[in-house]
Amino acid sequence: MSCQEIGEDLVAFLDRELDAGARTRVEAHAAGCPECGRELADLRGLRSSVERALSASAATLRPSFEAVLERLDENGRPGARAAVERVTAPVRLGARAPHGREVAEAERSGRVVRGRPDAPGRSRTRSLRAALAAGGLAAAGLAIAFAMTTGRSSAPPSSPATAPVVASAPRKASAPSVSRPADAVADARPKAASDAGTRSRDAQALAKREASPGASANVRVADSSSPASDPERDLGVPDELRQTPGMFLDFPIVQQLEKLRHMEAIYHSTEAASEGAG
Amino acid sequence: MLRVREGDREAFRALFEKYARPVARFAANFTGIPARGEELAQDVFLQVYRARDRYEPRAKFSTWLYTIAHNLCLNEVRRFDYRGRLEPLDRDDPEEGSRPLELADPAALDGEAVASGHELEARLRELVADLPASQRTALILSRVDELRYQEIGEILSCSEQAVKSLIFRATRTLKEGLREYVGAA
Repeated sequence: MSCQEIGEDLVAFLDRELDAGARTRVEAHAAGCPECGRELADLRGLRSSVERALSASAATLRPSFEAVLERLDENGRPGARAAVERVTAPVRLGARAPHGREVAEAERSGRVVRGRPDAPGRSRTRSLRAALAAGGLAAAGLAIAFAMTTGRSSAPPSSPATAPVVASAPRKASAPSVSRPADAVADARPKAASDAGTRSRDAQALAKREASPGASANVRVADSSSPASDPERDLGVPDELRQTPGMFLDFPIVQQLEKLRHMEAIYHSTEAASEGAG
Repeated sequence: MLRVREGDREAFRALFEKYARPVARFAANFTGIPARGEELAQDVFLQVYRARDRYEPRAKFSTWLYTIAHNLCLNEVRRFDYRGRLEPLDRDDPEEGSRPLELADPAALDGEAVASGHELEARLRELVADLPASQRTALILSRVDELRYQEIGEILSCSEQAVKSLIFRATRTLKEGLREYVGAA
C-alpha cells in the first residue's frame, strides 16, 4: 500500500470504520513510513480537538419543551403540513433547496416545495421547450406560406373537420369528380372561404382527387401545360407537402388569416360601393 | 416513539429530554450560532410530533430525527445568509480574549497543543461552520454524536464510501485551515 492509497483510510482507521484487513494494512504501513506515521498522529490530535470544540457548546444549550408544546397548539395554520413534508423528506447530496422566498410563499399557500425548482436540468428542459416552440412556429410559418401558395394555385381550403379526412383518405382507382380541373378548384376558393358547406365539399373533392392517381396525373398534365404559372415548382415545394396541403390548414393561424382575408374583402367591397355611390 | 405516534405527550417529553440537547448541539454546530441551536431543536421536535404518523418502526429513531434536523438546518442556512455574521460559540465566555493561545509547537498540529486554547477551538468551530453542508453534517455526527458511517449515510442518503470521503475532505479542510491559522498567529 502506497502513501497515496492510504489517504482516506487514515481518517477511517481512526474512526474504526475499516475492516480487519484494511486496518492491518494501514497499521503496517504507518509503522514503516515515518511520514504517514506523523500524519496519523496529527489526524488523531485534530480529531480530539474537533470533538472537544464541537462538544463544548452543549453545556449551555437549553431547548424548551414547553415552547414546543405551545407551538404544537397552534396547529392548523396554513403551511404546517407542507413544512413537515419538506423537512422529513430525504435530501439529495448537492441538491439546491428552495430559496427563503420560495419557502415563505409555499408556507403561506400550503404548497410543498421540494427538489430543485431552478436546477440546471429544469432550465435545460425549459430551453428545449422554448426551442421546440420556436421550431414549431417556424414550421407553421413555412406551412402557411406553402398553404397560401398551394391555395392560390390548385388546392381549395379545407375545414378543420375535413382536413384529417384529406390526409387519411383511402386510395381508389378512380373517382367520379376527378375531372374537376385544378384551376376550377382554385377559382372556387374565395367563395369557399365564406361558405363552410362549400369548403367541406371542396375538401372532399380534393380528397377524392388526391386519392386518385389518374387525377394527380391530370393535375400534373394541366400544370405541365403552363410551367410558368407553377409557383410550387418555383418554390421547390416537396412532393409530400404538395400532395397533402389540407393537413396544414388545421393551424389556427391559417384560419385566422382566412377570417382576415374575408374581412378585407368586405372592406374593399364596401369601399368600392361607397366610392361608386359618391 | 410508538407511543408518541399515538399522541402520548409524556412519551414525547421523554424523547425530548433524551435527544433535545444533542440535536441543539448539532444545530448550533451546523449554523455556528448557539442561540439558533435551541430554536432549531424545538423546531425539529415540533416536526417530529407533526410527522409522527410517518415514522416507520423499522427505521432507527435517531436516524429519522437527525434527518429532520439536517433538513431543517439546511433550510435555515439557506433562508438566511449566515456568512459574515457568524458568532463564536463561546462568545459569552467571560474569559474569552483573556486566554492566550497556548501552543507547544505551532508547526505541528499535535492534538494536545491544538486543544489547549479556546481561541483555537473557536477557530475550529468557524472552520466547521464554513464546510459544505454534507461534509459539515457528516463530521459533526461522526465526531460529536459518534454515529457510524452507515447511519450517517442513511441520514444523508448516500453510501458509506461517500461518507468516508466526506469526512476525509472535511478533515483535510480543517487541517489546512488550522495550519494557516497557526502560521498567522
